[in-house]
Amino acid sequence: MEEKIMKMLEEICEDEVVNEDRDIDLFEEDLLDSLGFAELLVRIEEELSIVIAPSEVKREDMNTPNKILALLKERM
Amino acid sequence: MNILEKIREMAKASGERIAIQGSREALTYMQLEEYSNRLAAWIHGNYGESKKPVIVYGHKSPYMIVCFLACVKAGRAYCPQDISIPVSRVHETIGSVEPDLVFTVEGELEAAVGRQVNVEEIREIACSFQGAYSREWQVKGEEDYYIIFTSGSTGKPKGVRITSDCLNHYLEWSIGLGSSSEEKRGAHFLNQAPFSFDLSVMDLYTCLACGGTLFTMEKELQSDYGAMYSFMENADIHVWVSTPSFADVCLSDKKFNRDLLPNLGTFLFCGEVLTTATAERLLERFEGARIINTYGPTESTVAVTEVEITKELLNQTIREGKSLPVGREKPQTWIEIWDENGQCLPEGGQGEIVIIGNTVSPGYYHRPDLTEKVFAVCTRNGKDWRAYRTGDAGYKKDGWLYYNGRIDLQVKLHGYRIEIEDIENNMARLPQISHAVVVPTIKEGKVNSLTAFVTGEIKGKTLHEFTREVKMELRELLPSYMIPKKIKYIDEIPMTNHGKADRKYLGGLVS
Repeated sequence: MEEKIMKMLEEICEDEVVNEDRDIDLFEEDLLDSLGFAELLVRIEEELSIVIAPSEVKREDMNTPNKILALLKERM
Repeated sequence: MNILEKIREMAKASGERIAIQGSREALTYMQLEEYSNRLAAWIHGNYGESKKPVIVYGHKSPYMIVCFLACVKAGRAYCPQDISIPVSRVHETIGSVEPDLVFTVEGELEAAVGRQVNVEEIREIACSFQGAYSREWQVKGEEDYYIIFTSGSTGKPKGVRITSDCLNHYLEWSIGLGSSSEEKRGAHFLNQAPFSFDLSVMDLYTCLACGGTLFTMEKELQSDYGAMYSFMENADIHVWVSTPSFADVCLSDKKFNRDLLPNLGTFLFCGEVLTTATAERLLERFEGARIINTYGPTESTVAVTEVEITKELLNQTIREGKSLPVGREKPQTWIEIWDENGQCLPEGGQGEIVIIGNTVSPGYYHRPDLTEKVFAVCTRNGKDWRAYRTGDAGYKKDGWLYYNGRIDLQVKLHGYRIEIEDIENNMARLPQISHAVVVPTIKEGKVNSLTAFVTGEIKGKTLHEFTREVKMELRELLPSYMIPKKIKYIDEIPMTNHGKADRKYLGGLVS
């Protein structure tokens, strides 16, 4: 699953750096904006069947690849 | 239609109704009328006959609207500048307007020219200024009502002049979009776009013309879904005005549905391509709501075509694998498709979209050179009208217009209009960059992001450090939506046989 998520992130952020530095702040580094974040959640639902409502999570809980991975593992 | 008279009538008839609801405060129609009259009297009293446009700097405060109306009531155009625009770019705009007056409603700005009036002074004047106000001063006919600055290919923004007649003609049509103006009376309108983006004219003035209440949503709110949805729920929005991209952001959350907005009746979209995917999801979630797709550049006052995206039209479009139409032109407007020689093509022919009619701008502020290139006068039905060559590609079928991208290097990214060369020229201003070529990544027929290919001095930095530094420095020069998502350092820019940067080849690398 980890691989799948990382691939997804790489595609949405359009940058391999998300794989190299998994503690990178995706919003601060302009890798994700609100539209990219929305796309990420839609794809997580479509491809992993994990529903995350953006209104239930704070951006600070999903602003790095590691945090996203941890959150998704919790919800599996 | 005369929008200033409409607001005056509304203040008389329903003075206690909220006109503008901001996040911290609201103004009624009576307050909006009286405050703007007093501020207009102050402007006229202090600056008399000056016709210079006034810069209004800020974000979503109801006092932004007080300033807009006061300027036009005092006989001046206003030029809205949102706080999200980098200060250096605001200064460039100020430099080309050379205003004698700058209103700073929100944010920090030190204008080098003109008297700067801050929000405390504005409030003070609006509430208690005693000078007499006269309706005779207000902008009319062919005088400029507002000037909106958009991306210019040289790297400097250019100001689109919209006259009082343009705006009023536009409103005669926009009040009937999706529902009649009577049905919109007292309706709650959503304002998502900043006032420096002319999509906001659609919500602000259509709302005021119909006696509705405008709910202005701050940018900060738009990044916190929880807060954003409770704002929308409390606002009980009836008429939704946004870019399709913003609707996509909302749609990613299941909560965005009929339960959240039970009275939402109309979606008005403008600013970029509305995809079938977005329309489909909206129709599913909001049973009974009408989705109106519109099209138009800033140069022809917000929008000039409309079409309702019904289930039938949507299904047919999906079946045929096409993109959605942008619809039929408004009254007293002709849309024609021209070839490179300026010849009007028959139906079905692909070419440049040309708009002729009563909402076409007289041109760019103090730039006759740029104006001459794209504006003209055409005779239709025995009368002269202004015409604007949009640079958009398209074709017409059964009376409907279909948009087909650009014929030059302009792109629409999440509704924002960007001249690619504007970004490139600003990137080249950075000392570590010698040459920059920016190409869009296209996804599902829409620009999804921008990538810059650059050459220059990397000086022992890692690629990541270099990219970071470039992005950081660009923030001082460009609004964030214009900063390329990816910056790729290369040894040299590939060239075509004609010695131009090979955009096609570079474009192929990113899609």
